Amino acid sequence: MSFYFAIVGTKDNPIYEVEFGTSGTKSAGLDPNSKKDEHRHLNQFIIHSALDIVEELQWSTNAMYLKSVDKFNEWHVSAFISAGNIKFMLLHESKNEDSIRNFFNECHESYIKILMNPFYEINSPITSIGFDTKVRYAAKRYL
Amino acid sequence: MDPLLFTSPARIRVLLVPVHPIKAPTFHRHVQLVKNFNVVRLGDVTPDMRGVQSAMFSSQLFHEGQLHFNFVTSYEPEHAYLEEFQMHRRIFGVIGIMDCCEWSNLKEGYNKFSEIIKNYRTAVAHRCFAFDPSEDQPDDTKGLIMIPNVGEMNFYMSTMISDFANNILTEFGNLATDIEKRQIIHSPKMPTPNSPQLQNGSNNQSQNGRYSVPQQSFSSPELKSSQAFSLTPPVQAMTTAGVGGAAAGVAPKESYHSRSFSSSTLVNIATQAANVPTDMKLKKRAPGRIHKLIADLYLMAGILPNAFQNYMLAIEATKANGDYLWHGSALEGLCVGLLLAAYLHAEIGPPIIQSQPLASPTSTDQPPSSPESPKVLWAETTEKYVQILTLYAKTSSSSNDQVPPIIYTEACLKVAKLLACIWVAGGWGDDALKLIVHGGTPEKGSNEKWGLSSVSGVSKIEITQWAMKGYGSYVEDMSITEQIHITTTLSTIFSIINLRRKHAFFLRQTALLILPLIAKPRNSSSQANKPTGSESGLLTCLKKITETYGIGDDVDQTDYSVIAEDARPLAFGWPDIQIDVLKDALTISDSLPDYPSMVKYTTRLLRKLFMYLHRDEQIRLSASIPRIVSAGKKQGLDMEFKYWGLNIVKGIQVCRPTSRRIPYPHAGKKLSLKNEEKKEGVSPFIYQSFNKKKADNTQTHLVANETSYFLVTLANPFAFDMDIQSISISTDGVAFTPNTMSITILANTSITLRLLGTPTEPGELIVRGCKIKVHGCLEQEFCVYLPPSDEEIKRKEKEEEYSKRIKKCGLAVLDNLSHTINNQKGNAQPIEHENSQSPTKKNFVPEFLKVSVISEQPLIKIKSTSLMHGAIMLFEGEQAEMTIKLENVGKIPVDFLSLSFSDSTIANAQALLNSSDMPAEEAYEMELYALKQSVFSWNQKDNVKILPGSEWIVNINVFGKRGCVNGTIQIDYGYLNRPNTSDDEPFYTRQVHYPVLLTIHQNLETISMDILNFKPLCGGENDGVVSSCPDNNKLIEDLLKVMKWNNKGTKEDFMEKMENDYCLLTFDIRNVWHVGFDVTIEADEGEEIDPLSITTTIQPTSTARIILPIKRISLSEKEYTQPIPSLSEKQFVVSKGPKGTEEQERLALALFWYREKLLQKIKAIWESPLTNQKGVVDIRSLRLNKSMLNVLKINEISFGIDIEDGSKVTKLSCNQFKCPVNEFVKMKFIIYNHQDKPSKLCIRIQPVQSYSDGIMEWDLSKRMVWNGLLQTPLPKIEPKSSVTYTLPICFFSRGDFKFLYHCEDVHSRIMYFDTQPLVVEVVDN
Repeated sequence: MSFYFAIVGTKDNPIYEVEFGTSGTKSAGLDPNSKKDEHRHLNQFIIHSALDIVEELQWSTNAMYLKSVDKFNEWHVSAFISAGNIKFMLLHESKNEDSIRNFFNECHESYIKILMNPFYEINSPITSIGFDTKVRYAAKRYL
Repeated sequence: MDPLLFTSPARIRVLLVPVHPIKAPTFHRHVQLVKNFNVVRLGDVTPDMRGVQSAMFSSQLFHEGQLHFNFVTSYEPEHAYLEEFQMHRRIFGVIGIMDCCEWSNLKEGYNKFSEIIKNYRTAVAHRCFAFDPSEDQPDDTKGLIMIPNVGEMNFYMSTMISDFANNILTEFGNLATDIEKRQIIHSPKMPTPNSPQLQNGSNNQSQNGRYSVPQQSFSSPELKSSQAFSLTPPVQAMTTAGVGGAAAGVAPKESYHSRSFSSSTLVNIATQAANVPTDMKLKKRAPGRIHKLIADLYLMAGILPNAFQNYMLAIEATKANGDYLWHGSALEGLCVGLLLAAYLHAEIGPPIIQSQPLASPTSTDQPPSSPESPKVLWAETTEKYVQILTLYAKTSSSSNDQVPPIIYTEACLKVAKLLACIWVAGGWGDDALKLIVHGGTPEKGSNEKWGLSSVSGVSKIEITQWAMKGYGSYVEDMSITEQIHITTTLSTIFSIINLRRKHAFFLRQTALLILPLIAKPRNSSSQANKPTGSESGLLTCLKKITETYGIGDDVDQTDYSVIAEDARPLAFGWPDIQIDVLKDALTISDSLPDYPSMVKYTTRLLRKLFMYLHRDEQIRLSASIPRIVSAGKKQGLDMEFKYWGLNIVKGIQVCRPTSRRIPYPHAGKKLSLKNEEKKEGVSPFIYQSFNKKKADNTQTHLVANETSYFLVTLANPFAFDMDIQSISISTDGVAFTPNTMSITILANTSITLRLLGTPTEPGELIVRGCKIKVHGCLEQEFCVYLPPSDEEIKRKEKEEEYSKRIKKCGLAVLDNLSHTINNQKGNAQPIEHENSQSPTKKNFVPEFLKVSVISEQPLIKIKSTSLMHGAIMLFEGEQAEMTIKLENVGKIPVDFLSLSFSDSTIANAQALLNSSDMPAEEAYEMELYALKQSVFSWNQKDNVKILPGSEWIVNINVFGKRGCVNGTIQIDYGYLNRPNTSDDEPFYTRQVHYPVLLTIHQNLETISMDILNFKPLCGGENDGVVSSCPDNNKLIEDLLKVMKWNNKGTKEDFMEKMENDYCLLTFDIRNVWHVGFDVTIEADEGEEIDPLSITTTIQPTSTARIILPIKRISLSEKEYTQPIPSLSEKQFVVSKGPKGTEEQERLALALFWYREKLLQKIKAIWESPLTNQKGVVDIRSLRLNKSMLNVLKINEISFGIDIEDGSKVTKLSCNQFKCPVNEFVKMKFIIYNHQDKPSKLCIRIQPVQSYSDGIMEWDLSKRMVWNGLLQTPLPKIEPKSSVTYTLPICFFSRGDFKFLYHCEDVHSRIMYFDTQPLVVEVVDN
């Protein structure tokens, strides 16, 4: 199981990216690095293309958690949209709505805390180590 | 060709082949012409009177029906295996297109066509159209149809096509007959056995087809080679099947075609033939399948009622025996039919109703159950497709009859597209149907709304879900061509529903898929470098992709000529993705190869995203640019392009010229430098805060015809060295000749360059920036840009705030920038859009430097001086002279020369003055030293004229000032009296500085001053008369001669000359040098007396005491109480030091003023006879103290004593008398008033007797008598006059009597004392 989690700003710009879980089962024969790299890029592309759907869906519901918005091959894209139009995107393989919802909620909470930092500018990359640890912890807990 | 058109199963595929030779444009033109006739109404089809057999397809019953031709110019044999399953994939007709101009003998042409059609065995009808025949070409070739280019061409063409349609319909009949005869019909099977998932190995067999000719191997071997890319019109296509059986059917009715269903057929797969598992099962299934195929034919023939009928039968049959694949396929066909029926809606009723009874029993799907409400037809369709997909999915479990992935995918995509069409058309209706049936590019904009479109009822989400369903992992296993089709369709769908990111994603996928196909021809170098249509299409794709990812062409739209960009991150997008996309774009354009776009993408990558790129990558990319350029040039392309990077010019400054070249401006000719200085001095304020001194630094003037220098700061933000081939200043305004230079800026550094240029005329020069030619780029102007003003920033913030409020986010931000809707109509619109955006974009105001260029100026240099090494050694106070020889090295004469000087002492003294809180008199001394003693001085001469090349000598006096170590001579010069200039015009001068090193040796020092009274205190034996004639100058001179330095005179002489008005000034002069000096002291007492002058020689290290008689000084109170002046324009600061009492202050002032007076009188000059040097001795080091002052000054009130009584009284000395006892004497007290005002005084006299042991006897009533008052007011004394108070006295007793006396001012109570008491020695007679 591997996950790719990205927070995307309002200008399609990633403000936070992280990958967890094991990957590489597929890259048996090839150079694992290049394959992984390629895979990471593909993840980004998938997330990026799913933004379209998120923008579509966000007007049709008042829930922040949009559930699984897109599917690419066997990959699901789940999305969570914050009030400030920041999109939390998670690329995952198996559907597990509840845990993903929890994960998103936790991340959103952390993000809100980041936002409260007066020195943090909206749409700028999140570099906080604390945030990173929290997200990873949340991932470990829920995913 | 659009294989994924929803209605493609209802279209008859006809291949248009060129009969070579034919020019490509001609061919395409004719293709377009033919394509106009792709719809033929059944009623228009030429009736075929041949057979009855195939009448099933030429029935006129449903004459409202339409026949849709799918004219293609290429054919993919790849899907040939599906041709039996989905017959619409088959090519039913071939139309040759021939250009008569290319053929002299049309017969040969036709023969060639005949050759061609042999390749297409599934084709059941052929025509050869010969276009543009010339008149002399006979229309006699059989089978060849001449299409004249005159007359009713459309009519003619439509007739031909109708005829052609008839032919095909006839053949359909034959085909149907063939099909019906078959016993076994196989399911399609992918030809490549390596395909995984969906078809694992099992051959698709049809069990009980009734076809007598079950399988056939490929007749043409080309299939495997599959070399024909769909990208180029194939010269020859290939078929899998042999030429079909005889098209026997002749329809009695009008439009009617039969199809030759070639016995060979599409169930190509040779290999599968071998292992047919269960024949029985296949046979059982055959009827259903036959119905389905027949229905397909009906569908294509446009005879919908029959089609429905057959579909229903097929569905029923396949459902019954679990033939899922065919069941699904039949349903698909049915949906198409329903849609077509809806499209032709007048005719909907009967056929559907007809079919309904058939349908209803079959299954849950009741398509025609809603004929009256066609609005929900699309919903029905989607529902049905859900079912179809389920059916298809079921097949995957069975080993046989697996659905080919392409079928599955296409089904999904078809639905997606269908929905998209409905969405874009704004809902279910004729528009949507038209789109669905005919395909084509839908017009956008009608339905651009957020979220659910209330009109259409179709959500984008639904469309996306359908579309994404069709893009499973199995797609990767399809052939490249298939993948390309799928991705293209997907991107089209997303484009239609305006999901631009998805669109771009699949577009990129497409481009990447096409890439390897394109790379091949290049390697074989067979390809011409002219971009073909597909290549330019690919480039357009790239353009769109990059746009969506925020790195489209509009990020470059800041025209390179205005290189205002600084290194800042892109406002939009995902850098990692952007890099990827640009790299892909690069690879693609590299493989085309398209050099301009390679350059474009390389530069964009570097320009926009260099901060995310690794150093090596940057270097690689930058290095690739010249390579691309040269490769492009080899191909004959114009590869000159502008510099692409960020602005490298960070700042331009005019370099101040060397100090001797700086021109200093002056207001007008008539004001000389000095006047200006004076003017400044007039101002009452020492410090004027409002009067900003125009610092010369701010304005630099350039001089015409002289090289000027500019400091240019360049920065290279990239990680590679930037090679600048040429850089020069670009200017506006007056003529300017720049010099160019070249340089390399190292990676990630900035450098400052000094560029040269020569302005050639006076006026205003505007420095715009630099013209820079970066290696490999065109020369370009770079400017420095001002940061946006505050207003600008505020406005932007406001805008941003606004855009935040309206929640433009995601890609809408791009729209905000300059997104252009791909509206083909609106081409003009986007341009306007951009224009309106451009002002907001161009926040960059170039900063131009304005420099004034003044007319030519002369230039002078110091050719030589009289000094050795610019150093001079002087004694303190020495006066010397030096000369400076100037040479005019400029081109115009000098007629103005002004010298000014500075020396090292001034600064020190000023610093001392400013810093320390010294007493005023000290400060005055310091100021005097600093300001009044100048080291250098100059006697100005008029009429200076130094012609170019000539010389001029300036004489300068040098003074040996104590403590001075160096000084500077500054020479201002200029050319004022130019022809054609008015007096008021400002003029300029230049300066030459000459530093002088000074060594000042102290040779003489004056020390230990004292001032003494002439009145000796002790009495002498001398009984000479007191001289009372003070103006006896002669005597005094004699006296002085006697008493002076060698002390030769006798004491008597002193006494004689002793005189009240004079005092003695004494001081020592010590020679601290090792050479003797002659010192002359002069005391100037005023007009009536000649100055007194004494000269003496002081030997080395010896000291000489100087004694000078000085007239005592009288200063009025007014004079000596004025404050100590300050020589510098220093602001008055209240003294911080402890303030003395009033008396102390008064004393200090008095000391100051008396000393000044004294020093005015004395002058000391030294001379060295050996070296002929002369100078002055510094006497200002002498200081007065209070006792000296008492001696020096003449009191306001002074006393004179005389005792008058004939001969018996002798005056021993001043105030000392000898008087006989018991004699009456008159004691006279003379009181002088030296003041300028009358004074009223009171005198007090107290006689005492003093014994030798110092005891004083106060009670003297027994010893003396006096007649008068000892204490009495005096009459008023006029100024400068005196009164005498006489006191007759008689002493009874001998001894020394002392008279103490003083006067007191009755008004001010000031007491005045005499310097000494009166002493009377009473002796016996």
